[in-house]
Amino acid sequence: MKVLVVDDDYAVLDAIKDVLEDEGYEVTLAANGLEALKELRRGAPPCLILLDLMMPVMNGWEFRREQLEDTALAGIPTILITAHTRADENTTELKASGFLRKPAQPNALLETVGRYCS
Amino acid sequence: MNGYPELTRPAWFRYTMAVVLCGVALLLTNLFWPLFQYMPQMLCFLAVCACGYYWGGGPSLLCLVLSTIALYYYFLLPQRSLSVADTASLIRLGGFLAVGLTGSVAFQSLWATRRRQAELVAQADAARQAAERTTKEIAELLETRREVERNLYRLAAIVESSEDTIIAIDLEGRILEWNPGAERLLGYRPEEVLGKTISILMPPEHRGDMNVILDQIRRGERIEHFESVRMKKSGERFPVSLSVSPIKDAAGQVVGAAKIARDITERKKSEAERERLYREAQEAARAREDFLSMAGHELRTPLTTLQFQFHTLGRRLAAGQADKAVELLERSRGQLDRLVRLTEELLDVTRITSGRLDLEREETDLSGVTREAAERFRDAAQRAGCELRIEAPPGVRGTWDKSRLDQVVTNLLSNAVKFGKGKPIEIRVEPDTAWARISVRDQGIGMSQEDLSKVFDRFERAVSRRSYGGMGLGLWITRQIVEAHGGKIEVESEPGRGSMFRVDLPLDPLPRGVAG
Repeated sequence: MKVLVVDDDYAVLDAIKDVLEDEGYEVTLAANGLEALKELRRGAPPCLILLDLMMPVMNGWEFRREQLEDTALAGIPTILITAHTRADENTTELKASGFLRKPAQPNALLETVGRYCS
Repeated sequence: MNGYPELTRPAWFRYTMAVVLCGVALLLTNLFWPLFQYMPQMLCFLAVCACGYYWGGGPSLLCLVLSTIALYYYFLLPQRSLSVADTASLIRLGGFLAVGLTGSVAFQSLWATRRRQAELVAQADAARQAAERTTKEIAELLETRREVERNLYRLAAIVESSEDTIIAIDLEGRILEWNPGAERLLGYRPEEVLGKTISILMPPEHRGDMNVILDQIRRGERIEHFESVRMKKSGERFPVSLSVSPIKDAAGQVVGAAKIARDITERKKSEAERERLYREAQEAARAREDFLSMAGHELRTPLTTLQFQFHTLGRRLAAGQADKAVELLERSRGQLDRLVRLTEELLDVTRITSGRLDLEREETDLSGVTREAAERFRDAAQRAGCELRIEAPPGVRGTWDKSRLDQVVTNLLSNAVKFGKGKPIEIRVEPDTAWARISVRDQGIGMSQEDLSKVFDRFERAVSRRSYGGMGLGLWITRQIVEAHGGKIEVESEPGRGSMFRVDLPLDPLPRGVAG
């Protein structure tokens, strides 16, 4: 069960990776949307993408546009993990499966991931 | 008719009274016959005289005729008969008739004189009353005229002393009146403008105003607060508010217009100023809102990391993996440091805006500070793919606040790593006799000229909020610290080619007023 985590903050990436790996998930990391697209097109599709929005190089909005245009990637569930105050509006705008607002509770993270990757 | 009320009696009354008096005289003659038997016409004669005196020649004649017939019939022998009486009685009766006739004619003449006199008196009375009326009317007219004059003087005084510009024009737009207010505002003396058309005051693009105003005035309509632009004699243009009223003649026909013009330059200025302040306030409110949103975002990120790290830490400790727990604690400390830095930045905003950014100057080695900061960034730079190239000769010392200087270098390095696109970053410290320079050059995304102008402003950022986090405070705080040291900060940048920030610091505090 592979989860792709996309965030420009390495500390956040590492912390999420530790939590998920402890529960037996395989975790791949990407520091921006472009890296995430490369990762998706390289290997087997993950069961879930955890996506930050504000990132350099390619932000969450640009990533979602690219993802939804690629039929091979469009169906992968994507959860926004963001500190943005309008996360609910972003979820609708980006046609995402849901959102986790930073600072997210580890249990909420595990529960969400468990829903898509069991 | 004063003194002769009987003249006003109607004819029927006077003649009736003549008959009655005649009757009374005959009755009395009959009653006291022994007394009047030798002169029976005596009472009748008195009655004829009384009728003539009081009621005129006509009634007197009637009384005389009736008396003559009655005397002839009743009292001349043979009594109660129309047969001829004795000669002596006839002579007496004839005498009575002749004297009575003469009396009646005399009374008729007296009455004519009385009537004439009464008419003259009435005419004189009417003339006197007419004269009195005329005198009164003249007095009233004079009073009205004085009132009109008083009003005119008052109006003239108001027009003369008015601060407003008051101009009267005819229906062709020619200027008829020009008050001192007009002269003050527009610069023309009355003799320069009287008779000329009002369009001389209108800039070419506003000449159409004249027809608009005159059309409305011809229809008898008033124009309130018409805002336009007018031109002074000097050619200077100014905004004006006009109120124009039709002037009507006595027949109610519109013959011209009175204009009151007010210079609204100050009002327009204050309106513009209010609008500017409002825009600024709105802009400030928006910036503050954005800033609070960004600050929340920035604080949430390390808090998220800490939450996840503590979760993992608990599991590591429960599993007895002390070495992994210690490593995790080290990483958590990094997040705490980050929170402290963010909090310090927020406090710095308060300190700087309230003028309480106090420097603790001490002998400080700029190269040392730079190397230490670069060392802290080594990991972050490595992960971002940026190589740090440092050129910092030893012994670049000055009297600076060490921790604030560290903040300056940290902010510049943080930006360089963040926007450096994984390319090398050059950090250089250069000594001079009185100044020291530190420069940080990256080869990243760079900035446009427009962004450069506001990169040191509070809450501003030269990049998309969607792509780069941060509170937009780093460079603003950096500039405040540099300027507090009497130094200056500059930036050169080009989109896609990277940026170079250059900080020049005096080695020792400058005398007041030399900074910058």
